[in-house]
Amino acid sequence: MEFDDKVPIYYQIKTVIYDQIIAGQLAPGDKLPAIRQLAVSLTVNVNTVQRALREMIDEGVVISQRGRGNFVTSNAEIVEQLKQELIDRYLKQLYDQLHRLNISDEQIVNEVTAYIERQGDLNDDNTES
Amino acid sequence: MTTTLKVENLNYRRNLKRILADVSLSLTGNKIVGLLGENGAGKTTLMRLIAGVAKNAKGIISVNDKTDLATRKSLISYSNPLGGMATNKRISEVKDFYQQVYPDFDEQKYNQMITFLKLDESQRLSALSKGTGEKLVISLTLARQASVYLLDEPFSGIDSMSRKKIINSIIQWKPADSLMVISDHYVSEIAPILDEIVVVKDNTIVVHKAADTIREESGQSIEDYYESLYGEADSND
Amino acid sequence: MTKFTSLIPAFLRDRFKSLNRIILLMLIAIVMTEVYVFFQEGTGNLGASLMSYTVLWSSVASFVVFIRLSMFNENVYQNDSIRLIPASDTKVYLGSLCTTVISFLYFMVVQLVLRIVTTLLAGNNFTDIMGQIFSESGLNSGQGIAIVLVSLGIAIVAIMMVWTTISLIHLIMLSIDAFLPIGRQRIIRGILYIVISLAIIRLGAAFFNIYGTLMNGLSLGWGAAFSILGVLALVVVVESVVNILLMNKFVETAQ
Repeated sequence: MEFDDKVPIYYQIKTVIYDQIIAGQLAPGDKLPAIRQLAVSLTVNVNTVQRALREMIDEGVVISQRGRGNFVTSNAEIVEQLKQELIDRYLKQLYDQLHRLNISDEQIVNEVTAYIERQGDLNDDNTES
Repeated sequence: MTTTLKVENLNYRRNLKRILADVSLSLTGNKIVGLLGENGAGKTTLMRLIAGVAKNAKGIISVNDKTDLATRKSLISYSNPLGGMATNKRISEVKDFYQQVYPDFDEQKYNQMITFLKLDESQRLSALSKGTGEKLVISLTLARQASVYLLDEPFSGIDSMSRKKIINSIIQWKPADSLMVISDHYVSEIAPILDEIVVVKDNTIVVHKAADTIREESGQSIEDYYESLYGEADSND
Repeated sequence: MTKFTSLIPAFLRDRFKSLNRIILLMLIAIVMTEVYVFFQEGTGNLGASLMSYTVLWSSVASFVVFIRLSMFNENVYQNDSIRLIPASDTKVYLGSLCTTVISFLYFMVVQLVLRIVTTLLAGNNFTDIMGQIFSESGLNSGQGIAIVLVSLGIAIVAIMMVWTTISLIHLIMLSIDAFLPIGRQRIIRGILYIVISLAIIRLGAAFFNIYGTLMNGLSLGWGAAFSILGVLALVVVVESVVNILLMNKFVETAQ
């Protein structure tokens, strides 16, 4: 995969794996690939993968079992919390940017709703054609 | 055991020209370190001095606290195994030679690599393209079970497909407890696999930093950061 | 660390391959010349010409072999693929010199076999010839073998001395090279090569001159033969020590 070289690589690895967990590609309790395998598939250094894993373990999202490997936590609460954090982060980004343009809260809500409707139509068109 | 490569107060002149001045460097652990600098900055010379094939420098070079030349050569795998070899040799002959003179040559690993890199052992060195030549060099260099790997510009002048395969081989086959130094004058292609970078400029080392620290502290890409050292900050325009 | 016993076969392979090619060419040359003689002069002169052309072509081959082996021997010093080998410079130097000598012995054995074969082919009886030599010189076969062995020893040590001397000149040049300014190198190098070569030859001549004067009193007996052997060996050892030192301290591989 392509990384943004301005952002620490370990952080981007963490984001990739968290995205997979939230999207359900990695289910709670799933075993993560071996470190070297992850490094090869992401084309990054083994040490960087290790650092990303260490942080994910510290945050409780990944559970390390000695001699068996690393697993996604089966604690649904943590996954849910992770999801909420991500949603909050993206919303904050959106909100901050629009707010900076002096767009009122009310208008933001309206624009978002309208946008979602348009996207919905677009997706429908795509599936029909 | 973690590997330590130490260079202390290294000074080197050749043909009445200063090439390295007061170079000190300490690398530890199982990292991959990028040795960056313009062409002619002294990257190759530094590697050749560490590997023990360049002579007459003042200063101390040690690997795992060993300074003896022959011992150092046994701990270091330097990526110039074809230097001076007759070009009419076949890959299989080169491998036989390597296997004979390096007690730490791992044939099984070598075979895995040449299969992955699709090297044809019956080819002669003179018939190899730049990319294929580099693939052979990587296979020979990594097939040794060394403490330190010195790869001198393994990507210069080769196509992106070969480059990707070589990078993958490095990730896959670099022994877990070894130290690796990769030199390059063009950093963006290897930036994601580097733990640390060392920049050689004006005959000496001007920067030695962790790659992610640079990204965190400056918010710059490694390439932008590297270029800014040369005063080419106009890349932001 | 690489063992001496691993270095020797690794170094021998290339030298043998090259020598075998030269031997093959030599054999082809002899056969071709014989075929030519056969068509020109018929079968009458075939035996005698075989022996003389074998001598001719094998001297040509010996010369080529000497040059090739010298090249192999000198090629070591600036060669990364050899000097990266985890072994001390002493081991690498001696390994290379030994393989050069072994290769030369191999070529001499091939020559000997060839001479015997051509002698027999030419219709002579080999043991008769040897017997004749011994009876004419008034030596018994034991003494004869001793003489052959000592002269062989002197020949081998003498050629080793030629190789260590070539290396000495080459290594002194390479050592000085590192301290010369770039640009002027070629001219200075040319002059230095001549000066150093002459100096070493003069030094050698003077040395053997003194030695010869000292030896003058003695007649050419066993004592003289062994002392020649000893002196040659001493020169080989001294030059080798200097060569290893230069190699270790100053001589870099080519980039």
